[in-house]
Amino acid sequence: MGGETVTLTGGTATFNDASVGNGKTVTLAGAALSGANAGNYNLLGVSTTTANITPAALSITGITGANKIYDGNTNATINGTASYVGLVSADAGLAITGTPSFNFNNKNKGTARPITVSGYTAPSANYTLTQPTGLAGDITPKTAIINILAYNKAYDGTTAATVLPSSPSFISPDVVSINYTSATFDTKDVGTNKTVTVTGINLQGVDAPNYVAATNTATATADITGTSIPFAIPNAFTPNGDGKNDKFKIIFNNTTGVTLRMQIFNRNGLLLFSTNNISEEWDGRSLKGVMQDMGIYFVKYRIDIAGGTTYEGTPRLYLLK
Amino acid sequence: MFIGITQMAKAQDFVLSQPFAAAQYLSPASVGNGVFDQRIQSNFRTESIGGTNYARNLVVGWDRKFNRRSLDQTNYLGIGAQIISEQLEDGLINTNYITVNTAYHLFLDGDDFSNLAIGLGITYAQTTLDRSKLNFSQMYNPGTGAFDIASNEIFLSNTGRLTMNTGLLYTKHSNDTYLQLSANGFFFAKPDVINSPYNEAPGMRSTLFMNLEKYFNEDYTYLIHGAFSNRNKESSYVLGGSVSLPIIYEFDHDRRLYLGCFYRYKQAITPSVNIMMDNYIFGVSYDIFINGLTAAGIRSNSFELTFSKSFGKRKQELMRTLFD
Repeated sequence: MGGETVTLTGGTATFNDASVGNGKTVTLAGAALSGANAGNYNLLGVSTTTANITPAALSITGITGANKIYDGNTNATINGTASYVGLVSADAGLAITGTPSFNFNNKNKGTARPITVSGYTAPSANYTLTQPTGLAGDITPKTAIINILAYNKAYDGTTAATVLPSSPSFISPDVVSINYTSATFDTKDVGTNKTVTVTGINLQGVDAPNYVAATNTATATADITGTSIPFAIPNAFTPNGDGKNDKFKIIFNNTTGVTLRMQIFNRNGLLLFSTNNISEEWDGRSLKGVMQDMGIYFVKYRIDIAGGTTYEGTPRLYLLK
Repeated sequence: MFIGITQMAKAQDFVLSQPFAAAQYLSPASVGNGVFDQRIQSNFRTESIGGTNYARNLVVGWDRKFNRRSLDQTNYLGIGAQIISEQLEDGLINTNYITVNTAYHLFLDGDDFSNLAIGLGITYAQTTLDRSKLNFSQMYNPGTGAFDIASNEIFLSNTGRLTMNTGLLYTKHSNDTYLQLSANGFFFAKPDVINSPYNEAPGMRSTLFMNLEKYFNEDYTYLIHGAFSNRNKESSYVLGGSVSLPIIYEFDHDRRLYLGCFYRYKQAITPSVNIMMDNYIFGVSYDIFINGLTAAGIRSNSFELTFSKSFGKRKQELMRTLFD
């Protein structure tokens, strides 16, 4: 009544269940009247009320970002075992749910590159889960295995080699090229399975930073075919003006640094032709301009090649008509 | 002993160091010459350079007096044939020549010592090639450094050339003197082996030669052979001589030893030894080259062996000579 002091105290208020929800019935039991005038009243009961249960905040702990070797995508992995933080005691021990995924912010190499996490879910609707943040990892360059294909070549008096480097390590569609400083045979001479050494191997291209060459020096094998002698001497020609083999000359694989002295004699020892010009050809005529007959002739040559190599010989030459 | 002389040879006219042992090689008019009715002559010549052989030539000739019905008959017909085989580089280029010659001998004096012979011959030449040994420039493969590309030359399947030769020969043949003067024209040459319309026809080889053998000092003779040849602006000269002495004095002078030397101009000096034994003549010679190859430091050499046999009736009053 007015002026009296009565307070409802004590008791336990409980929701009708523990689940999250709005307008949930709350029942108070065990409450008593207190106050100076409490004796004037007899508590017959307490009416129910309603209230909301909101989700509890939940987070993930126990994981860190893992480093990886460049693999051409943003996929990331984690270290550790994820567990919830914020579970109520009744839910303690609930297993992590969801299908988490982890992604670097881009595919390229880098250190402490942020990892975005998604896909974890709350164990029930009673929780609101916040995805982990702050994860990071390093993307380190991938080692590119270098394969060298060396091409066979005809003897040219040099050790220069032509090679085709490749790598099975490159990830499509990365743009990477393999450059090198030099590719050389072990010697300039004719041979099979000769060692070709490639030096100064390096990677170029937009995606080159994501790789590191396994080596900057590699070897392969190839053949140098033909003859070690850097020239060839036909033994027959047909000076009949039909456009086929009409003139005779020594064929050089490489004329650089080559000097020639050549004389041609008939079988009776008469000098028919003489030249110091490496490209001059004998047309089958004598010094008097007389076309010679079919038969055998003798070529005397001396070839000096820069570096000190000298070749001399007196091969036979057959003039045919 | 000998007379030095001169020579320079056309490229592929093969040379004989003892041409007097191949009468038909010298002149088609020579068939039927000599003191006997018939004769067989042969030359075998081998040529090397740098120690390896590159040419072998074999010349075999036979000729006879054809219609000489009696020893007293004057004018007569001579016939003969000659085979020449020229093998270059162990058969890489083989050329065989077969020649048939005939000559009419017309005596010019009552003693039958001098006659003029007009000769005519036909030569068929055939050449074979070992194409597998030919490397043309077009066949060179820079990729392999070898001549392993197929040849683009078209070789003739049938190589042959038929040519004529003619000669005029004056001979004075007495009991102490033998003299021949001759002029000849030869067209024989190797046939074409390549199918091409551009080949140049070989020109005529014109030759002049002189053979002389004469007694001096009763038992001894001296011999001179000189020849000139020209073909397509290129000339050759040869001159040389021998002396002969009896081998056995109690026999007649048909057994003699000839020692001689011949000089081919700018080519070779050729010492020769010949032995006449009645109807047989043997000879050997060696060429000491003094040609451009020699000057270029290329060593070359040549041997030549000759053999001839004469048979049939003989004019006894005529001297036997190395040119028989």
